[in-house]
Amino acid sequence: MTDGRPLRVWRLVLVTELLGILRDRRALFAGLVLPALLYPLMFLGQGWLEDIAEETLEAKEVHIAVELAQLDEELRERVLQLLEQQVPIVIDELPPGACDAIDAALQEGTPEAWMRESELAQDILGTDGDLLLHALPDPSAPENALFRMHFDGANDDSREARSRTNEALDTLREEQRTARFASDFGGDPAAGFVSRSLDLASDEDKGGALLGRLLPLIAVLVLLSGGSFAALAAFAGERESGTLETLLVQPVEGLKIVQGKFLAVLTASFATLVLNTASLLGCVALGLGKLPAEGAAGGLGIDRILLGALLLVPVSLLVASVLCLVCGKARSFREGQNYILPLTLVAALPSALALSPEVELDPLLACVPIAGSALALREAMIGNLAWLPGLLAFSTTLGYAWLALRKLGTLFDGERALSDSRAPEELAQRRGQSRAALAWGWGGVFAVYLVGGLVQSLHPLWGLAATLWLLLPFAAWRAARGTARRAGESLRETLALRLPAPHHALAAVLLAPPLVRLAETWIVWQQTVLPLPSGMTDGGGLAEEILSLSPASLVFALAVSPGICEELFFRGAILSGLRRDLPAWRVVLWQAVLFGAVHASIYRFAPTAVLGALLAALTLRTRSLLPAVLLHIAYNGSLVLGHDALPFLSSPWTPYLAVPALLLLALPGRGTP
Amino acid sequence: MNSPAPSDPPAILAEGLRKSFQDPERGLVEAVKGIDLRCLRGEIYGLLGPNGAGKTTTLRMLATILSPTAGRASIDGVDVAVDPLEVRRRIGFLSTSTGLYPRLTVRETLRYFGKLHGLAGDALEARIEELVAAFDMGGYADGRTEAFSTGQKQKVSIARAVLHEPPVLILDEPTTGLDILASSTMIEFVEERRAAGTCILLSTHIMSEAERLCDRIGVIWGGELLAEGTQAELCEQTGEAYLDGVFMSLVRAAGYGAAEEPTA
Repeated sequence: MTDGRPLRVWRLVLVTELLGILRDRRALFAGLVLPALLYPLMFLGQGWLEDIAEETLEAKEVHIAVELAQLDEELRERVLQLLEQQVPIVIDELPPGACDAIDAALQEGTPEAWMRESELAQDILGTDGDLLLHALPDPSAPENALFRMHFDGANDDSREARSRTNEALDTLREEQRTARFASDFGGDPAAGFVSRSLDLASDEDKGGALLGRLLPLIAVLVLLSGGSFAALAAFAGERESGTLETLLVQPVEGLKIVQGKFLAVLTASFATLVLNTASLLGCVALGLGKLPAEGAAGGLGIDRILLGALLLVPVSLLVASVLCLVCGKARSFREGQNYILPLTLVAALPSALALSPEVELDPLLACVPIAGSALALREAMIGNLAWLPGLLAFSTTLGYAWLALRKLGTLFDGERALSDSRAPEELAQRRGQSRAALAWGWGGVFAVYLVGGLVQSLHPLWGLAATLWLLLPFAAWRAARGTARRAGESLRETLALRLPAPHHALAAVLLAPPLVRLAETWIVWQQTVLPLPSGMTDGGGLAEEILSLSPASLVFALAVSPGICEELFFRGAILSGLRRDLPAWRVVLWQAVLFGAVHASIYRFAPTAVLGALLAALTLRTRSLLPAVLLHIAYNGSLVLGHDALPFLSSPWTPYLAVPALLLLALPGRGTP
Repeated sequence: MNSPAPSDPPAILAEGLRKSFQDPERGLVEAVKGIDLRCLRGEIYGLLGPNGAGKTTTLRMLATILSPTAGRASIDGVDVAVDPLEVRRRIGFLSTSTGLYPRLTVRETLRYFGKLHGLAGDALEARIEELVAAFDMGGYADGRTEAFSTGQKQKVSIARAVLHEPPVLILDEPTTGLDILASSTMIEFVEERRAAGTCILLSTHIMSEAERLCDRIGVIWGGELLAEGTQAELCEQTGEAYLDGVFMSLVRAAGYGAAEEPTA
């Protein structure tokens, strides 16, 4: 019956899944209600806090004690007048000479005098005075007056008194300046140079620019948050409740059920996005809050909004299908939840590219998942989306979504979902090996921190050499020995020390220049969100001894040595151990985390983690350690020598080297020996 | 017991059924090494063997969840490899690891699976009411299953498995993990279905259950069927008085050391 009518199955599964979500209060709240309430809460909370702060301070009466006896009568009157305008204020005029003690103390100029100054001011102010204003004639220009304020910076009232007094004195200063200019020059001599700037961008462009920068990140996060609960319930929940086997014996193809569940996830994430957007626009319309630019959303044309919505369609498909895949691989609800956070980070980073105006949408970037769509969405909102990158971003994201959707069929394939030929004892043993490899990995990272840090503090160059050539190979040998013994293979096999297919080796070398460019683009962007502290240079804290080496020695120290030794440890010993139990994608993820961590710097974490992931994927693909060694040496070497020594790095075509490299990698290589 | 006409095809037929998995490290692992089975209508056939003997893999192949590496199998005359969806219409499958959707009520659960089986409208509603009455679930038929006792859940699962009135029931360790009340519900249900002419294939490692329920028993070990027959036939064949003696003597005769674990 049903196999001929997929629509019926889709609808049945969709409705049942949505019913489950609507009955799950936790999912409903976290997935739908919270994102919808986010803006009202944020706007209201912000407005409320501001109001309280302003009201309480502005409405508060401040007490100011003034001693203005030394000013001439006209000026004294004006100062008092200006202060009285700062309502509500109580001005207590002190008798002449009330501040003489302070003057005397200051004229002594000793540190004790400073102590006494604040004590004396305290005495004069008493308990309810907030600020003491004391006018003196300026010794260098008797027609001028000097004002001295004493206030308590730790006290809100006192700070408020200071800001109001400053305001009064600023007005006075401005009046006096104008008067002085008029009497001396007959006007302000700088008046002819007044500049006036006028923003030519229309309101729509301004609003679009702002929304365009924010919207991609918000949209991706909201799609993920809305879809994740549905995906967890639909896939991880199915395994946890033990209903998967039952579904597999229904007279309906598993793929159709998965597609129905995918539709439920898509609906949930899209509903959340709509609720979230409606809540944002509703808040603005109700006047609850304001977007940073006036009238940002109101001024946006319907054509831009439609184009933006169109660009979000493949993104929604991709996010929903990846959520399904990730949650479908999870063996339990909790395991699925553990995957959601890293997935959110992975998706948020490329969409955050749209935040920085320096990153431009070029055809290559348009093909990067999420990043391409995010930048295209930004350009569409600003109103200058070029058709080629726009089309590329749209179609490649659609392509990625299609690939992910095709993979969904495997989720409910009984062979994969239920069969596990391995005996429980063997599974436990393999899990043990992966855990051991992970422990060795972290052990290596901390050994590099501790031992490496210690020996490098003794001597930077020899310390680095010892870390790379003694510590890491030793750790690699110890870690790999255990894995090799338990797997009954030789150390060479465990470390993947075999020749790769020649075209795979070539691909590894070709990948280095595009990777260098990617890292540079990243660093430029990172600089805008996480600037390097001043004093920390591009050398990454390398010592003089190393930076003053000849280029050849530098390449050996910073490219060849890490290329060999770090690869032996991370992609050799640790990777083979992790692979005993973990699926490839988790091995790659752990490699990224470990390799990012060993570089011990938040400023280098992202580039090194990406490099670690790529090197791990390369080793898994080519079944040999050599391509990873080559890529690592070529990448580090390019960074060390720089664009001056390697002019081809600057060519606009360099990023496109990635295309032949990936094609070569797609060709079959050497099989298992 | 209803005796089917000799010309009828057996409700379950398996010939030389094999299943091997490709293991990245160990190479080919054979979980089931060529099993022949014939189960008739109105008969309870028990697959008796320890954990890891290949029982679950065999039942899953018959239920079309896994596809056989070699050999062939048919349910009610329909080949599992040729038309798996048609086979699924003719079987009710249940195992103790089977769960329920916690947020659906009994009626919603039955409605969902009924619709997946192509039932709809008044016929479906009538069948649901019939099952709610038959299993005495009226008191909680509109409650969500998350709060149910094991016995209540078991009834819902059984009702789900027979919703479409399948001629063949495949039950994987149907009483494992159940308390006495729930497992006696299960046993009564199985006997009732046999009386109604359903073919029932179940797996178990509980000797007493096999002794009480099964018309014929197949002893399975290490992916192979060591012997098959009624309890009396098996006892006669091995010269043992009880089923556990039969089992141990068959296993020793097959050349396995008593302490050795099955490999698959």
